Amino acid sequence: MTDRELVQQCIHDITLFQELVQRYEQKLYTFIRRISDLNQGEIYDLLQEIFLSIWKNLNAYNPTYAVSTWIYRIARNATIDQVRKHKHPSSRDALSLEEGAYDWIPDEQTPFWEELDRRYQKARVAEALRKLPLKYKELIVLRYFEDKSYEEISAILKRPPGTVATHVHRAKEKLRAIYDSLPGTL
Amino acid sequence: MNDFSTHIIEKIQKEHIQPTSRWYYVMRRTAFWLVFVGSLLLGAQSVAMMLLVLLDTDVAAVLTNVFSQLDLLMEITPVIWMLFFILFVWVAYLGLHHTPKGYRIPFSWMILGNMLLTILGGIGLYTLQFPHLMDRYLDILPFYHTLEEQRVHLWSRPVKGYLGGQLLPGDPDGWVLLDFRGERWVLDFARPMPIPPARTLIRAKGRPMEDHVFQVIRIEALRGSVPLAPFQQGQMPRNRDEGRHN
Repeated sequence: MTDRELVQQCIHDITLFQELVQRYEQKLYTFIRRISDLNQGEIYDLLQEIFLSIWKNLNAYNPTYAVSTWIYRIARNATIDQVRKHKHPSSRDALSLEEGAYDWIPDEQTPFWEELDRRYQKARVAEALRKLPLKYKELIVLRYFEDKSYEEISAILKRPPGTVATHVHRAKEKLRAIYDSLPGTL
Repeated sequence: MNDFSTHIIEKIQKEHIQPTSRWYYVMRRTAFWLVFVGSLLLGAQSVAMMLLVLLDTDVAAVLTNVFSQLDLLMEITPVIWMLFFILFVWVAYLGLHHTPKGYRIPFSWMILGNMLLTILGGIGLYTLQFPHLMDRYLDILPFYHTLEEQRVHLWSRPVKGYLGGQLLPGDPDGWVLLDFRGERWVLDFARPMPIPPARTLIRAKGRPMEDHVFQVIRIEALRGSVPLAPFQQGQMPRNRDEGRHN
């Protein structure tokens, strides 16, 4: 069953809504973690709010959009609200033991120093991303981590596609500037 | 089934959370479209009122420096209609932005597009004489002065150099003007100038001399929306604010 069919039918059968929750739980968790500094508990509280909001707004879904676009829009708006409500310093390390530690272990096939360098660059990108203001961070995450098209980002953020393209370009420049300013840059 | 999704479903069932009715969204979408269309119409009517003031009254004379005075310009400029125009263009933007595809149109395009539609609508309404009708109907509002009242007020201030009324024919004293308040003035022309025919409603710029003599520097026929010489019908033009005459 496609996402669209799920959304259209789950209003009559709540078990189908459970299927929808399962399909999007991990995706939204990762998305929220990337654009916010919320910790795991806060993210799950927020996810609960998001899925209840999706349930309440099932009739607002416009089939001309992809279901994922609609769901990401709700998730993004809820996350922005949450971040604004609780402006606090980062409660999560950019590379905490639970989330990033295993990424640092090189596999057998890749030369050790090459892999180590790749991981090091990856950690630096993550650090630069963490320092990026939210309005730019969400663009980078949607475009390059969630692999959304400009059209989809436009629908999620409710901004014209041309404006989105310009803002993504600006976000990349900001990210590069932060990356270059990090200590240890050659 | 994982714990999280089960927890969500249990919460929905336990708290009897229901999806919002489809009709709510249909009505909301309709409301935004109505706000958009309604604002365009009201904005267009504001433009039409501006056109009425600019084309049918004395603004052009002031703007072309014939009767240049800043306070006068401020008084006759349709500021309120300009403000309404800006307000309704903004409200139309909000309405359109909240329609399903509204976000796709860039802000500047939307504002410029709304302004263009509003101005075109205003020209259309002006052509259909809507503002003339509205000017008459708005007269029921206690604070509203019709354009005719404003013009009577504007050209009934001889002390400030503005005098209007009807030229009377064949008077032995020369040219006599019957002003909007029913008083007679002998016109003294400061220099030779073309004078409109007798019985014409005119506006004159000049200065008052002794005992109802008005020295005319410039004289022109009143065009556009003008008072229909109510003094000729045995009644004075209505004026709610006597204090405004000086």
